[in-house]
Amino acid sequence: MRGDQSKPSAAKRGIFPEFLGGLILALFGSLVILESRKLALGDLRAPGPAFFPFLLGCLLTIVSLILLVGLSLGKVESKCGQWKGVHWQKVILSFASLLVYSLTLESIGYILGTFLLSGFLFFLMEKRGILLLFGVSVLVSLGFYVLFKQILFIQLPQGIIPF
Amino acid sequence: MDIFQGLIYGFSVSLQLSNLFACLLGVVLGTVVGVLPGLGPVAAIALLLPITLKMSTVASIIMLAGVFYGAMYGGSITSILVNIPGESASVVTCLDGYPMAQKGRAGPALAISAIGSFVAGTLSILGLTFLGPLLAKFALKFGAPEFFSLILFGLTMIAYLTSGSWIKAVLMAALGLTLRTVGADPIEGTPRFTYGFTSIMDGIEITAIVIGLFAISEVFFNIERTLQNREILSAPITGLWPTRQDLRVSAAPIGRGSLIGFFLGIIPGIGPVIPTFISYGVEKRISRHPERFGTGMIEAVAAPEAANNAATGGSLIPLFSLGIPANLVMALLISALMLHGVQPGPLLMRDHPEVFWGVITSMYTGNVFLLILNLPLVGIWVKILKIPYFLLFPLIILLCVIGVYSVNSNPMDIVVMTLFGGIGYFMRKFGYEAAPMVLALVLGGILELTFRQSLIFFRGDLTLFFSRPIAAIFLIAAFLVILSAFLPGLKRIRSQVPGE
Repeated sequence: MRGDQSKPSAAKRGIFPEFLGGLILALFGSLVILESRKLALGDLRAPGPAFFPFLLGCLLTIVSLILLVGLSLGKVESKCGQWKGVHWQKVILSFASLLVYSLTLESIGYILGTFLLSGFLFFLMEKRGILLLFGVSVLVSLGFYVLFKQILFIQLPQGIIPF
Repeated sequence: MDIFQGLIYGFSVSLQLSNLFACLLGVVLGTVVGVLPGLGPVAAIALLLPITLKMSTVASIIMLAGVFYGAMYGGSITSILVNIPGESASVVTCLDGYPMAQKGRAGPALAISAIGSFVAGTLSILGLTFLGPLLAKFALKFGAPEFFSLILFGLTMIAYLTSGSWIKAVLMAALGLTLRTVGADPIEGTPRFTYGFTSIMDGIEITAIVIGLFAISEVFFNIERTLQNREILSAPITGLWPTRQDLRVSAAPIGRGSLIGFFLGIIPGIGPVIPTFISYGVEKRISRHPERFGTGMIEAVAAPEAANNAATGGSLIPLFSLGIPANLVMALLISALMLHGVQPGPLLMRDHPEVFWGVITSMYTGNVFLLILNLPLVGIWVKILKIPYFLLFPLIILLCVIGVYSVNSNPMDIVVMTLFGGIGYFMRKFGYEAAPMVLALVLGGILELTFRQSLIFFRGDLTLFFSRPIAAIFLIAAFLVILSAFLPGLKRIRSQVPGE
């Protein structure tokens, strides 16, 4: 990218997702500055609780803006090329299943929750026979329960299964 | 307590049965995570942090340190036999280790890597034994301005030495520092950015963030591609012991690699990866046959393997004597010490000699364990690589879930872990390194505290930082590091630095 004779436009170089990332960081920095102002800033002689976060907010905003300028001028290398030919659906589904698991863990319990999560993840990674996936998921969820709850005495939520 | 009394006392602690077991467990787990893809020593130590709450402080740190140097050993096995490094400090070992294996010399390659690691590990522990207490005594003279300048220098080095864009590394460090300000203000106790959530008054749970950024994001990153199970060298490994010629050729490279690794390991931000590249480069430069490097030269396996193990001992020096982590793993060891109510730093040796000397001496034992484990059991470690991916990645996720949940029994920590797993995935995609962010998270509290204390002490006069020689040296060094990022020649060198 650097030193190209004719620099392609930002859109052609596919930097918009990365540009968005820089923009989010700049906005986050600005938000930190705004939120810091709700606390006592103090001064150099007696810095208050907001002093350090305020400085960090300024740093985040300024450096993000430098990044955005660097991206648009092609001075900062964009990494957006790594999106082609990847199974991003698997990533999204794994992410979503973990979120659902964490939000329902207390109500359905560790054994059932882990059985469902592991079954789904095994299936997602590779399409195998349903019996094999079922068996492995049962073994894994029960094995983890016995190891961590019964042997290492880690508190795990019971949920709807009464043990 | 002088050094020899300290060593005797240390052995009396580390040779207790429970501590010996912790050491063995640590090095075995370390070897496993070194061999396995998708779970490096950082994620493994973060996972084990909650479990250490049920152990004594000494046993915890002995085990976690064992994971670190055990992973250095384990990583070399996959580099030599599969041509894929189990963790980043073994990348260089692939260059000549795998060609050696292809030529039917996998045995001597594995043996020299274990011997080199053992010798370097032992030498670095000797260095730590003698240099650690000296530096700790010196560090007693440090006040808030010195600590602030040292931490600032460390963070600058870490941002500078991460691979990829320097601007992005600074952004990540700033983000980590900002996240650290969530919770009670360290001087006045005023809640900051808590929005009524009392559970974050003590700050955001670092374990969940680290596991998310390093383990979950690694799994996400791996499952997006169709991974084929690896071709593992199927021929039996014979002739394990290197020839006399192999040992003669490797002796000096092991010595040089140990020195390079040890002294570079002390410097904040360096970690175990960079010394391996430097020692490989040095060996190639001074070799009579540099053109043969990459074709299976045993000295090119011995030197980097020695360097990465020596760096682990070196990096413990700033941790034990200054309370400053030289790399991410050391940052997690600081978290572990703090979880147990132990403040790392110059007073550690005086207030908790059992931790200081116990951990140092356990590393001698750990290195012996690794030498015994690695050579005869190499076949078992290789079998770990045969675990199919469809089983491995879900198992890593489930381990992470239980590791994070066990800290506070709070499902919200799993949510934080998942979110940071997603954030870490995008960070990798866009070339943002997680290391500066995590180190800033760990060091942010003390950086802010010492900065504000210094300002109060200097009555707001920032120039007075330069009236203190040690603080001035670190600040000038930090400034030079920043300046060098803009020099074209150094920019090119920096672009070749490998990531952690």
